[in-house]
Amino acid sequence: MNINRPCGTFDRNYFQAKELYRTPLRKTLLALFIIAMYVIPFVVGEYGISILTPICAFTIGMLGLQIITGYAGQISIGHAAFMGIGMYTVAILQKYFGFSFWLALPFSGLVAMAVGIIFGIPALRMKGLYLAFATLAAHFVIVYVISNWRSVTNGTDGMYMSRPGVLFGIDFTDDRNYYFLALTVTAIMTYLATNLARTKLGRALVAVRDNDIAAELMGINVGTTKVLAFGIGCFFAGVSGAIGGAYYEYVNVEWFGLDDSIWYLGFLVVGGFGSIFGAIAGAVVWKVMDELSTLVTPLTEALLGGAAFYASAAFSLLFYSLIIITFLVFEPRGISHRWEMIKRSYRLHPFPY
Amino acid sequence: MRDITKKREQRYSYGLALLRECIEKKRLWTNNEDEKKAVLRVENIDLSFGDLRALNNVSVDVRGHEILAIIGPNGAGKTSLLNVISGFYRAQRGDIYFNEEKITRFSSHKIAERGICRTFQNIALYSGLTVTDNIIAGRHPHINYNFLTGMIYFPWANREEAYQRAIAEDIIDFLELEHVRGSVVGMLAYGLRKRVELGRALALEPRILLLDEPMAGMNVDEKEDMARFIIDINEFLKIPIVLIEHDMGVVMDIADRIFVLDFGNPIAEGSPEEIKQNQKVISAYLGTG
Ligand SMILES: Nc1ncnc2c1ncn2[C@@H]1O[C@H](COP(=O)(O)OP(=O)(O)O)[C@@H](O)[C@H]1O
Ligand SMILES: [Mg+2]
Repeated sequence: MNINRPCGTFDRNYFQAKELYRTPLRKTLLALFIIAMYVIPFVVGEYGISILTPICAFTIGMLGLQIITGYAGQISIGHAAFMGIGMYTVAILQKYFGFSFWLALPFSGLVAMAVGIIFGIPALRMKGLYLAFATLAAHFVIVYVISNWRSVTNGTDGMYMSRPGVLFGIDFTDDRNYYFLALTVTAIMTYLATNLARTKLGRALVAVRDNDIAAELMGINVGTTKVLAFGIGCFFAGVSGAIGGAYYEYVNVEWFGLDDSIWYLGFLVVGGFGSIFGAIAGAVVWKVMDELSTLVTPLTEALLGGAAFYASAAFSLLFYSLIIITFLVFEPRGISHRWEMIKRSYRLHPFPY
Repeated sequence: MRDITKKREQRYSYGLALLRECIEKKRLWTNNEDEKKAVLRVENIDLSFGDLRALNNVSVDVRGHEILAIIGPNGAGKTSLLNVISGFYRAQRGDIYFNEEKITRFSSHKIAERGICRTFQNIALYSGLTVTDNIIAGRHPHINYNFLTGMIYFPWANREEAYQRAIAEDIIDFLELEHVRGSVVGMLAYGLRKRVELGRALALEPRILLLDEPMAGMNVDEKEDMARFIIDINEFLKIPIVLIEHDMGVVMDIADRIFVLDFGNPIAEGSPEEIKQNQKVISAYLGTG
């Protein structure tokens, strides 16, 4: 039985069969959600915006990792570094070439994509854990180059970058307006990723993930598919870095350590492999956890006194680890799978199965 | 009863209409004389794994419109032969010609694009995709847009997707998979998965179809269904089919020619009647040789 769609919906042609949002209710809900995301900053104020904007940036990055790891099944332990490439691309283009942010934004993605393809080439020969180690090498190489190419990147001192100025009368130096920019880019990238997943390349990615030998024998060029997955995923990471970096108007190589790359993977598990919703959920949970862990700092101060400063740094790590372990034990397929189950049981109500 | 007859008639009038249209243009033979000509020629193949000789000087032809059965005891090298043809194993010696083109050194996906499509002895589906998506994934080389078009989802990408979906539904109808079209294949019964695999091979627009034990592990009903599908595909699409099968009853019934392998050696080739009488085959099967 097919319970992947709401009750009472039928397809009259093959165009309908591929629609993502079938019922008027779901279409309305999607529209309402998008509107709500644009209205929220008027409600939550400065503090809310300072959480929402990074969530947007990380959502884009998470979508990229979802493409590489969730869809194509190639574990990448270097994703944060590609985000860093996006940040530094914008900073360098702005500083040395006088690019505006708008012009630098696509380049941030393209440069990350090019580097991603280069480091994705080992995927032609390796898979599984071996490939994971190759991407780990990518992480170290990228961080090493950035921190030692002092004449260009300023080494570990970081670089300044600027947000876009005024466009069409909108002043993007204002945090709220910048959030709208970040949100819009996120919406576009989500749209692209969603379509990627449901068209030719998306199916090829899953085919390579599920059975690469069969995929090759069924006419899919596994090598280019894998490399393309790395390229596109890193494009997303680069754009994510540009959006996130410009928000702080500063970038430092210490922002994307190995631990960030690993948290990326961890929260992808929390969100759920192999779905767009899972990527978004993972990014949201990550940043919300981040905030929660800083919120409890005053509490620890009351308990631990002077030691609280050290404790709070450890707190976020504890938080992260706890939630990832919880998910690995109780719901290894992540939030997205849980959400599917909820939808399913709602559709089948009052029947238990 | 009447329903079944009606369904059968329907199959003959519409069966695989869209797919037939795609394949018609690329078919390897047109008139009845060509039909007897070899479209796939395997010449003097040697394949060893270390000391183990899996194939020893194997030559075989597949003709334009026949069902060729490959039989032989377990470990005879039947699967290895298919793997060599589809480029998964590299033969140490020998050549393979498809439609007079030498494909020995082609990479597997190129060979599949040429129209040499196959199923696997151990089911190799994309377990995370639904039945429909598995079949559309089989259409991969024949989908006409690049990934950027897909990501932006231009109207023509949408139209192309709908067309591919129509072909997939055509195949689903033909293989009677309607009731499971939305299910994830990992959860399906064994017999159904075998059928989905056949569907995915069909989606690739085969000009020759290689089936590796499509009926293994099935009950009698499922076997009959599968035999019917194989004969119908051979009739509708007018393509040759290479069939590895252990059930001698089925082989004798549906094969036009039989090729017998034993420990990597070709020991006989001929019509079912000839094979039935062949002394070498009998001894190989009874283990006295
Ligand atoms: N990848 C491989 N590595 C080593 N030996 C193999 C491999 N594939 C097949 N063989 C050997 O080749 C012989 C033929 O196997 P196979 O073609 O699978 O036989 P069949 O399909 O006729 O039962 C067997 O002895 C098998 O062990
Ligand atoms: Mg076999």
